[in-house]
Amino acid sequence: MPVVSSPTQIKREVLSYLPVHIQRLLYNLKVEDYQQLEEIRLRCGQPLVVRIGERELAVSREGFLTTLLPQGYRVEPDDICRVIASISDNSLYAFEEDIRRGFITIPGGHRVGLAGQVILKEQSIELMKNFGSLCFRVAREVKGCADPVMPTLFSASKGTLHNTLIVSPPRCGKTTLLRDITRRISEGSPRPGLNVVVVDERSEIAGCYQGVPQLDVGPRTDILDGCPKDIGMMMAIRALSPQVVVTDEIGRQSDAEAVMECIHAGVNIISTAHAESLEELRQRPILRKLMADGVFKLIIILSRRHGPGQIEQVIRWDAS
Amino acid sequence: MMLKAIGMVMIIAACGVWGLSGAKGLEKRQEQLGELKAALGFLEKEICFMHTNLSLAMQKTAQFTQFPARLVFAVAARELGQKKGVTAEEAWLKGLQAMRQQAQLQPKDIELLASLAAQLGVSNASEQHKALAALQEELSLQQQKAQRELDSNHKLWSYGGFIMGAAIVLLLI
Repeated sequence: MPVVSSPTQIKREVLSYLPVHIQRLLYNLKVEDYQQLEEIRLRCGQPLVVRIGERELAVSREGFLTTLLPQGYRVEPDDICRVIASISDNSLYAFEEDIRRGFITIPGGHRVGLAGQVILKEQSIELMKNFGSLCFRVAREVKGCADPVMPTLFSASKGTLHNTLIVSPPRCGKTTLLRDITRRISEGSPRPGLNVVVVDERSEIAGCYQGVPQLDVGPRTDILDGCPKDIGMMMAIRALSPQVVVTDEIGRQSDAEAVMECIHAGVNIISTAHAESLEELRQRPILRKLMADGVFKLIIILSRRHGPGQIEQVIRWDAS
Repeated sequence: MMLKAIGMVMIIAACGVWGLSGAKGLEKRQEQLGELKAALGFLEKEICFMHTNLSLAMQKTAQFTQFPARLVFAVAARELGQKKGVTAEEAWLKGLQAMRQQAQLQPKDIELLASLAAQLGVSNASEQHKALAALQEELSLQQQKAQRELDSNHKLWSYGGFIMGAAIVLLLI
């Protein structure tokens, strides 16, 4: 599958937010390392760590990758301050809501997870300050990864879209597959294009930066960025008249109620859920109820057995 | 005799000009403190109500501010706009340095303005509001002091230069 993020793109979109001396350390990575780069972790006083595919490696002071963490470049408090200044354009006040959610999305759709001192007010997060660690998560857009499942998404007889649930443990490519399915449905291949609303609570599907999607989700797609799933689904039905609602990681009671509202309004749902298998999925009461009610006609189970996005099983309840 | 007269006139004129520039400096300091206070009010609104990114907020503030106070915002906006990893603190201090050479401010005024550097852009809107409002309040007090100084010393500087020039001439005769 063509991985869209090239080394040049990663250097421009991700590394440019790091202090210059850290950028230099990471410039030594090989092309294939860049292509598999998933995370860059900066923890105050701890080694600089990168996750490349399945490997977690420290970056040495000379810019070499090593499995020996003590040999890694030790991240200074000033490095954290500079990265925070850089990702927020020196304007943390403009990212209050993002900081409350625990991450800032940067151009390119990449996310920077934040950890620090959390200040609570009336049981909700007021602000986060004194940042201690940061995690850059590289957004991966794998165009074409939905090709094998596209024919199964539509009913053979009626040509209608099945309500679909993508299931896998974390880091198996659920969101990447969901994004590509969204793009294909919106573009209109293989069936005519449909109006899609993406309720992107964690800005992972479309990777919006200042409201503009940074990842390709198709031409007929509206995005409710940062919006809670249940509220977003209701908003979408009322205001955007979608044919399909796409959302990530359903699991709460309120999500299930909103999903039922969509179904009753004649809107198709494509979503994801965390689980290793169908059995594990059935152990979760809310998802079990949705499945028992026949909401989802198609379940796609992914694993990481041969790398992210491995399609393990496609289960259909609708034979038509 | 003619040369002596010319010399006397030159001494008195030079001392007079020095005194007048001192008086002008007092006036300018008071004006510049007021201008900076107003600019910080503008910046505060951009940050706290509009949530404008700092580089753009600085740029807009510079557009609505008179020289030399404009320099601090324009230089800081330029530094931040280059996106070369410069922090707001560094950009603000560079702006102050640029303004310092052109303004009639005293070191304590610059010190006061520099105290904002560490707080600029690094907290939520409510904290930014507190920091900017506190600085405006302190600048207001400085401005009041500068006004009192202007009232009491303006005439002294204006005439004092000429008087001193005349005294020097008398001593030399």
